[in-house]
Amino acid sequence: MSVIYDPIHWTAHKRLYDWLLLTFVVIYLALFSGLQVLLFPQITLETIVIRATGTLAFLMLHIILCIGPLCRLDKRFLPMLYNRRHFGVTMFLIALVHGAFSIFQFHALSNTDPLVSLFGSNTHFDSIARFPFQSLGFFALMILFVMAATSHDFWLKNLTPPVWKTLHLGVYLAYALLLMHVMLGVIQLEQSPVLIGLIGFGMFTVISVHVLAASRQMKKDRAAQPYKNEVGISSIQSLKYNVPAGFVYACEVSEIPENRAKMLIIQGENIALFKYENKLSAVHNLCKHQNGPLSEGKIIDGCITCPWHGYQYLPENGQSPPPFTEKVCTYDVLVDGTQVYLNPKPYPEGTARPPALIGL
Amino acid sequence: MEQDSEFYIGWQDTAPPTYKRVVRRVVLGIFLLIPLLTLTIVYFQKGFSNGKFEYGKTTELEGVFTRIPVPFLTIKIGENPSGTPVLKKILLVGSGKFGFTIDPEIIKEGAQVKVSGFLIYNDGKTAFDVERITQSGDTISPSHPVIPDNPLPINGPLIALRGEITDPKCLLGVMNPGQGKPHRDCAIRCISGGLPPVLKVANEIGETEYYLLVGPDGTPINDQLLDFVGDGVMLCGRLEQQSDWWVLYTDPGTCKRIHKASLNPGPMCN
Amino acid sequence: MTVKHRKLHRYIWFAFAFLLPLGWLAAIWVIPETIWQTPVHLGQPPQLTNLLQSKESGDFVINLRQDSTEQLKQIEIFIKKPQVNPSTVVILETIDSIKGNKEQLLGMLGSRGVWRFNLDSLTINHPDFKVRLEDNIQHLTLRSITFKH
Repeated sequence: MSVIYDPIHWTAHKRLYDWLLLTFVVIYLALFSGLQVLLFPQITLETIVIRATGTLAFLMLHIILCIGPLCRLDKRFLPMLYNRRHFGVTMFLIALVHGAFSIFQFHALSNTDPLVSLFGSNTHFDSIARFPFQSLGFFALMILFVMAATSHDFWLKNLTPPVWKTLHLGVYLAYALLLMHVMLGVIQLEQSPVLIGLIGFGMFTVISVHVLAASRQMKKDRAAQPYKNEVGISSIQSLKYNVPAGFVYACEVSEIPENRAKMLIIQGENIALFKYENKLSAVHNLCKHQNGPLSEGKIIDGCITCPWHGYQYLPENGQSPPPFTEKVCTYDVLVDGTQVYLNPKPYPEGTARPPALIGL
Repeated sequence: MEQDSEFYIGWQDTAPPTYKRVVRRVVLGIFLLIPLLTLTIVYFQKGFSNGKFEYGKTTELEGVFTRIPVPFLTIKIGENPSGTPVLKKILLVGSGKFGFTIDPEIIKEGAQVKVSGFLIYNDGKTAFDVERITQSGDTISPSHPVIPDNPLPINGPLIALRGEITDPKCLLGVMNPGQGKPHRDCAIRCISGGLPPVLKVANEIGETEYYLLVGPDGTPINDQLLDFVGDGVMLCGRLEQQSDWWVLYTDPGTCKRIHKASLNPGPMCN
Repeated sequence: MTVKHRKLHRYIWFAFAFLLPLGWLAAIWVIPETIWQTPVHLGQPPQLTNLLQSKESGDFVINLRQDSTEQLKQIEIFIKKPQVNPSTVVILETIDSIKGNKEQLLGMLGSRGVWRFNLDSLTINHPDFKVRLEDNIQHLTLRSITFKH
C-alpha cells in the first residue's frame, strides 16, 4: 500500500525474495554453462546461451505457474506469491535473451529481415511435424512482454484489477505455446526419452496443482452459496417472520472463527463476513489491489488484512486506514440468535455500516 | 500445522514460523534441484559435432578459383602413385548467411587467387569464409588438371541418396548443431542466400558423407530445395567426385520426403 | 479473484488437462526417425583380400592389405571419429637406412569411414615403412605409424 508514487515499495521480504531469485538465476546459468563446456567442449557460445536461458526461463515459468494454486491449497506458500511479479519479470528478461539470441542466430545476417524470416522461412503451419515452432516461442514472448510491461501497480490501478487479471491470464496461453515450442522444436532433434519425460513431468505437475486448486475452489464457492444447500433453504423459510426484507440467511455465528471471515456468494455478490470483538461486518470479498480474497484474510490491529499483499480495510466502513485511500463496498448484517443474515445489496465503496452485535 | 494465530503479511519484517519453515523447504528444494536438473538436461543432449569455425583467426590460402558447379579453392598437394593430382578442395562461402559470389570479370574461372578469411571444418571437409580475394597469378588453362574434368551432362550411374539437406557452412561448424529441426530456418536462410545445399548421409556405424547438390546441368537448385530443408529426404542423381568433395547432379523434382529408416535402400534409382 | 475469474481459471485448466497432454503426445508422435544409408563413394579401390598388418592409433585404424596374387598392396584407413583438422594428407615413407627414406603421397582422407590407397610397385616390396598423416593447411603431423616386415 502506498499513497505516493514509488516504483517499487521495498520491504525486507522483497529484498530477500529478489536476492534469492538472483542467486537462483546465477547458479543455474553458471552450472548449466559449466556443465555444457565440461561435457561438450565443442559446443558454441551461442548454443550455450540459447539453451541455458531457454531451459531456465521454462523452469521458472513452471515455478511461477505453481505458486498461485499452491497458495490456494496451502496458505503457507503465500510468501512465494508476495513478490511473484519480480519472478515473472525476471523470467521474461531471461526468455527475452533466449528469443533475441535465437532470432539473431537463426535469422540475422541473411537476405531477409529477421522478423520476416521468422514467419516466412518455414510456412508449414498446416503440419504438426514441420510446424514452425519458433513462431510459437515468439508469440509466447510477446504475451510475456505485455505481462511484464503491465506488471507494475500503475497498470493494475489504471486497467482495474479485473481487466489486469484477465490480461494476465495470458500466461496460461504462453505456457501452452512454450510447451509446444519446446516439443516441436528442440525435442524433435534431441529426442531423449529422459528430456521428454522431464517436460511431461513438469506439465503434469502444473496441470495437477491447477486442477486440484480449481476443484477445491469450486467446492468452496458452492459452500459459499447458502441458497444452494438444504440448510439455507430451510432457514430462509424461517426468516420470513424475523428478518427484514432483503436479508437472506448467511450462516451460523459459530461458523466464523474470531478475527476471521466466511466467504459468501449471495445473488452474485461475493462477500466476506468478518467476526471480531463480538461483532459482525461484511465487505466485498475482493481486495482493491489485486482482487485478493479478503475472506481469507484476518483482522489485525482492527483492520481486515488481505492475505495476498497485506492491504488493509476497516471492517465497519470498508476504508483503508488513513493515509491510504482504497475502499471496498460494505453490506448490512443482522444477527438473530445464532443465525446471521445478510443483505446482499452493496453500499457504495467506503460507506460506514454499523456492525451487527453478537448475543444481543 | 498452521496456527490460527499465524497470518502472513508480506510487508512485515518476519513471516510466521510455520510459513517460514515451508518456504525455506521449498527454496532449499529448488536450489537442490538446480544441479540435478542442469546435469540431467545437459547429459541427455544428443551431443555436438566437432565442427570448427575459426572466426577471428585469419588464414591466408593460395590456390585456383573455380565457381562451377560451386565456388571452390583448389590447392594442389602433389600426385599419387598413379600420377593423378591430389587436390584439396575448399568450399568458398560468403559472410553471414550468404554464398560466395564474385564478378567473373574481376576473378575469372581458373584464376590463381589468394584468399584471406576464416576456416570452417569438420569431418574432413573444409569451407572458407572469404573476407578478401585477390588474383595472385595467371588464369590457368581449362585443360589443366586442377580445373575439374566436368563434361556435362555427367554420365555416371544414377544414385539414390537418403539424408538431410542443410547448408554446408553451418553444418561444418558455424552452428552447432547445424542440422535438425531447430536449425531448419537458419539452413533455409543460408541456402536461400546462395550457399549450396548439402545432403548429409550417414549410416548406423557413423560412416558419413556430404554431397553438394546442384541441378542436372550444374546450375543451382537452391530455391527448389528450400521446402525440403531439415527433413529426411531421398534424392536421385549422378555423382561426381571433386577431390575430397562429392557433387550430386540431381533433378530437384526427384526429391522426396521419407519417414522410414532404411539401412540399405540400394544404390540405383528408377 | 472474482467468481467469474475463478470459473475462467477452472475452465482453462480443465481444458488444458486434456489438451496439453494431447499436444505433448502429438509432438512425440511426429519425432522424425533417423534416416540411415551407407554413404556412396564411387571410385574407391576395392578392399584387397588379405590383411597383413593392422595398427591402431588414436581415432585411426590403419591396415596393410594384399591381394591373393600377392601383386597388389593397399593401405586401408578407418576413421573412427570425425577429424578436427581442416585437411589430412596420407604420406607413405619408406625406411631405408642406406639410400635414405623416400616419401610417396598417397592421397587425402575425408569424412568418417574407410579410405583405401593402392601402393605403387616401388613401395610394394619395401619391408619397412611409415604411414604419416599430415595437416597440410595447419602444417602439423597428426600421426606417424610404422609398419615393419
